[in-house]
Amino acid sequence: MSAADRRARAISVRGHRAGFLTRLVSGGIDLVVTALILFGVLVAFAIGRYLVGSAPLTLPRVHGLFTAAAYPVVEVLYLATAWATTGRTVGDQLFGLRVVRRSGTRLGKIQSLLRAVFCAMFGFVSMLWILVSSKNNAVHDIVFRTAVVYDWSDAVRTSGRPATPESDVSAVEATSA
Amino acid sequence: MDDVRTLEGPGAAVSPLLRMVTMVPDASLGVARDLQRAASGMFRFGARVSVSVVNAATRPAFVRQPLERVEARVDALAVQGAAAREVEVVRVGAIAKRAEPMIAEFLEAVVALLPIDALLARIDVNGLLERVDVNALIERIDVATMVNEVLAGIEIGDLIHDSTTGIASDVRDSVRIGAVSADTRIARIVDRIVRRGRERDLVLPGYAFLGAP
Repeated sequence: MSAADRRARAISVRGHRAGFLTRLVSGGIDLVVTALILFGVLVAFAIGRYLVGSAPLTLPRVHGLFTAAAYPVVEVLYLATAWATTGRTVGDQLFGLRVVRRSGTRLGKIQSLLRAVFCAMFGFVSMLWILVSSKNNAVHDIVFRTAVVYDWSDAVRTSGRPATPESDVSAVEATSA
Repeated sequence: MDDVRTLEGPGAAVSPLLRMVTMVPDASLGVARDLQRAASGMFRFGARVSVSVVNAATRPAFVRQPLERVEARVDALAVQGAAAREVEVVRVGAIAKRAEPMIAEFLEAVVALLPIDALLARIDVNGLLERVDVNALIERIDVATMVNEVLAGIEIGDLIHDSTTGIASDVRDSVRIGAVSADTRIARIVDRIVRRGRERDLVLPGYAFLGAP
């Protein structure tokens, strides 16, 4: 597929609410990323302990309860940070998705945090509603008045003011090049 | 779309795992960019907090009054300096303006003294060209060394990087297009099952974009 075809496709779907499969797979990737972050924290802790003390360089033995408690915390922090800054997680980036308010702007910090908590608790069950929703909304989209749209560009929209056509084209070209 | 068909066709035995692996550089780039933005956000937040703290710290009268005295003194010095600078600029400009006609006159006199036409008439350009042995010149050039130097100047690493980035982008876009198509198909199947009469309203109002149908 040529760059022009890709650009045309990117523009044609941009701003459309994403469907079930894309969001499901993207969410699955984010679960893996969360596990990697947690693993990275443990590795960093092991290195710090090795440098400061005399302990050998080994991963700390963690109780299952610790993992069960730390995993959702890391997931919430990861999701909230991603949504409040760029509007997309690693999974979203891979599939060209962006989480926005219904006005099309970036989520606020509190809104991101609450949405992340809800998603960490009921995310995949909540997503089943996308299948029957006429607007591809998950339950958490309805509760927090958000939407997940296809957006292959890297431009982050922070205000309600629409982007200029030039910036939209250049953003898509930069992504598709 | 041909690329997608090639990847999904029966003849192409490309493992999904391999496709995922090829997407890793792009995903990493995305993560790095997101982290960069997050860092910028944190920096801006820190700057805002610092300004707020400084404002709060300088608000009390016992801090504000000495600061105002210092500010007034600095302001007076700045005005004095600006006035002196303007005077200097005017003075240098006046000198340059007075010297300009003299310099022009001097240059014209120098050009008038030179017998340029007589010099050009004495030069036999054709005779000069005939005396140049072009073949001998070419023989003296070490073409092999030149080619080697040119090739050494080409960054093979950059070339490989550019080409692999292009491949990764192609794969990523193919995956995205495939995912959009799969979403549409699933939605149609569900709509048929629940006998929804109208199409889904998928366009997000307020999300300005080009080429919207």
